[in-house]
Amino acid sequence: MNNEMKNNPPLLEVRDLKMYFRSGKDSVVKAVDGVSFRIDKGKVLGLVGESGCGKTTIGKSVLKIYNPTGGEVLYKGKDILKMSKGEFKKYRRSLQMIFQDPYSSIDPRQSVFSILKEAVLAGGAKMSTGELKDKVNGYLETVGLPVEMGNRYPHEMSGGQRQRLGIGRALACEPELIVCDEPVSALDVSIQAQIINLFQRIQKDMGYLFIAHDLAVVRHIADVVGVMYLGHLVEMMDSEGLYANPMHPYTIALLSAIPITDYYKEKQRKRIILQGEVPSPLHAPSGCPFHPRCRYATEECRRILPELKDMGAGHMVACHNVEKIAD
Amino acid sequence: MSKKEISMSNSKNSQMRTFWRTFFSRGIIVKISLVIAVVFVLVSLLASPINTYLLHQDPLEVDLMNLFADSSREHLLGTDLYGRDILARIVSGAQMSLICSVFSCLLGAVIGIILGLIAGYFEGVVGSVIMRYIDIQMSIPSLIFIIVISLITGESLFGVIMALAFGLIPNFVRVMYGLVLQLKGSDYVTASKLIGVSEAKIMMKHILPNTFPSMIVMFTMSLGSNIMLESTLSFLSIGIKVPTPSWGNMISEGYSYIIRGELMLSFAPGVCLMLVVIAFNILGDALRDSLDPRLRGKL
Amino acid sequence: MMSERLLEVKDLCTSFFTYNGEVKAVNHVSYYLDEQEIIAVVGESGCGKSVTQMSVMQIIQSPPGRIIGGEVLYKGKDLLKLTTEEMRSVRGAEIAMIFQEPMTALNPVITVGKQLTEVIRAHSSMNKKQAWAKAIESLEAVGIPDPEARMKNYPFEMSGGMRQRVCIAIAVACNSKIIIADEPTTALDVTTQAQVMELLQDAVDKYKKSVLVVTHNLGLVTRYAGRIYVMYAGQVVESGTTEALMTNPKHPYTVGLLKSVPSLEDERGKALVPIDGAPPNLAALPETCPFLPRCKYAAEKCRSRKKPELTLIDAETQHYTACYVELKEGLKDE
Repeated sequence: MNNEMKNNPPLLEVRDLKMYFRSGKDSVVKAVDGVSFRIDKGKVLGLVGESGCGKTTIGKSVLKIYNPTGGEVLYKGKDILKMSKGEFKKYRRSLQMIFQDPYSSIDPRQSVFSILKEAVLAGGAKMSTGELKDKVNGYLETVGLPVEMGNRYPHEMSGGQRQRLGIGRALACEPELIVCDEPVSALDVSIQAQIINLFQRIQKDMGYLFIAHDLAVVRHIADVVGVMYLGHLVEMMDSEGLYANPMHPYTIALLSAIPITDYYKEKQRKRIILQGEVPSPLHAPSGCPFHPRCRYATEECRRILPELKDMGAGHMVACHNVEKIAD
Repeated sequence: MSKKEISMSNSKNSQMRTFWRTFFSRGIIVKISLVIAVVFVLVSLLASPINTYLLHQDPLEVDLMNLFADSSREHLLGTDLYGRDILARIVSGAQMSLICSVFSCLLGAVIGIILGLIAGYFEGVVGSVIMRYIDIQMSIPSLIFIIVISLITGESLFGVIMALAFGLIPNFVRVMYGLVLQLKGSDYVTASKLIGVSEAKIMMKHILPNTFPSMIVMFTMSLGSNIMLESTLSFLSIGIKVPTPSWGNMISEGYSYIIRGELMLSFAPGVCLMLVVIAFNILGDALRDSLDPRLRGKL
Repeated sequence: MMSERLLEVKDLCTSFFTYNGEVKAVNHVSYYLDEQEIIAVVGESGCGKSVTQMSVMQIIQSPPGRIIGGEVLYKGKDLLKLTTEEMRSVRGAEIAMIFQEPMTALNPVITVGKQLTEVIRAHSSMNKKQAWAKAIESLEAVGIPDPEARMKNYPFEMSGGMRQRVCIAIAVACNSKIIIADEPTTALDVTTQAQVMELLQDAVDKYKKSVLVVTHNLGLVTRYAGRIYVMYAGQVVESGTTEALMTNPKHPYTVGLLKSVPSLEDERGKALVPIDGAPPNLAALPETCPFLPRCKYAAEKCRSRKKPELTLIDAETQHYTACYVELKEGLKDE
């Protein structure tokens, strides 16, 4: 078993990731506190949560943009956090990111062609002008931009087109894992669908870490969904089951908070309106981070942080009262 | 022309159109300023041919028989206390002003941009050293600083340029430093890092060019302020040495005669100075609007 | 004779006069709002949904914007004919507006309590003490815990959801009849979104207000709105009761919008059906239907005729649509 794991490690495995930020003299913000998950080749892990839950911090730690306080990020079995800059160099381009804001993520002074050219050549590839042109045009085509757009500048493009360009730039590095940080939330509804379809079309063998606050979008694209609350994973399982059978009280509330467009079903749905708001990570509650807003909270919840437990079929829940809530 | 080239030139054209529209959006005042600036630059560049062939005057020629002459066909603005033609001296003085201001701004901007880039690039010790030094220089009134330097370097054109350039460095370093830090944190720089572009290349290709609009604006504004400073130094007779004409030393020479009613001596160069400085400031404002609206209210 | 509407907008036109020509941001838009109902104006960015509301409030930046036609009847009186002074007393006292980013609507350097009392006093004859008490009362009404302490807070000391509540509190405190909410939940977290919408629902039920929500979130609309207006390229392309629109959309744009949102119940991994292309340039609108270039159902008559007018297709549900192609019932699921 152990041997088999070593020979065939998952594409990405994150173990007990911790990211603390110092804030002031002796207060520490625990943006991410002990999160573990894995992403297999060709699979999509969705991370859902509200602002301040640490999902973006995880994304940036996986890419080694941040240096986490603790934990391991194993890419194909090797801990990239422990690697020196030089060692990491050969993995750098395999891990890419799509940003939320299609405006700030593209250099305004570069033409579309030169942005893609840079992405193709930055890995040290040598090729003739003709080959380069073919390659760049190929990527333009893949992401659904007309080849003539190569001469355009970002300010002449719409948000959706810029997001396509950002995806093309990541693809040009031939990545194996893409971190998508709220890639569609800045786009219009009809454009969102175009980009989500694009993600699915180009996926092939790549793994995605898909970070978003929109559960419907995540459910649509992800194989496994992790729900985060204040730096902790509170529930994780394959997305079909999560939506059919949520167990954590936060997940249940989150699901009921999203209105759906099916009129008759919507009118019959039970709404659970959570009281209060997500507390600031600066004043994170003791014990279970969700207990101040939880209807089922007990004394135990106030004191002890629940661990993620397997409730069967890989459905992981971090709650002391799962059985009680299920009834 | 192929289809691609057309779309490219169109886009460039439309960019230019937007640029000029915003540039002139403040109305007639910008156009007037542009005219003043262009006339100033042309006169400066062609100073000696203008004096020789158009005015037929030598700004240094003393005419003791013709002191304080009134405006006439020969001397359009009259003569000064040595009987020299005032208009010819203004033309020569313009040249002095332009030389001092352009070269000092270039020098100050280049050094300032390089230091700012280095400080922003190496945020650590090197950055702190540079920025602390800048703080120190900023805490001393720049005029005092400039006077000291121009005394050290001697009263020469070179000395004035050095002094003015030196005084300008902190402004450029500060703005540059802030911009570099801001751009370093932007998503597209992160994206470039992710695709494996080297840090040096990111600096030169993605950060430096994006600071240019702000730097051009600062440069234009500095042109005006350095023309002013050069005149100040010359007025205090530590700038351009007499008898070489400069607007500053012309005002200085003339102001004691104001009570005698000889207004032209000081007022003519004074008005020129005022117009040119205001014009450059307005052009700087207009450039800022069209190149870098984010800077509004910062410079 | 029909009974008088609380708010009725007729043929409203607002244009922005830019270097690139006249941008027809609002192009003959009509709608109405009755007492104690929530209606929604739905559309994507740039469709004119916000500009319409800003025109109603007359807070369009001018130049370049100008209201060039139409009527805004509030209790039968045309607001567009009021003087600036008269309009100022309508804003806030009769019609309040809340925005996507509540921070922009609040003064950052004045405490929440002071802002509330100032607004209350401007619209009533209360003295300072009474206004202060009323302010606390209204903060309590919008569910802000410990309102007395919160009165002393500055806006930046509050979370986004809290600030949005303060904005609603201001509307409640001023006894405005109508609350126009421009993307009130877009900047908020999912659970907070639900809270804010419930609050608006409360304002209707408890305080007899009428609410107009401008949004792009179709789910939100389904849950809370009674009637919907769908806007595209500065025009209303479809309107009717929420039930009619959501279960039996007739305009290809509405159909497309509904299909392009992933739902919690679709078959997973199935490709979404996006609307291809992008919205038209409002400075160069064609004579034909503005949705024509992106329309899957376009027929010959769409290309040859001028743009279709809103026509009633079902009186009972007040279902209007601006389309030549009669979408059949089954088309939605095709």
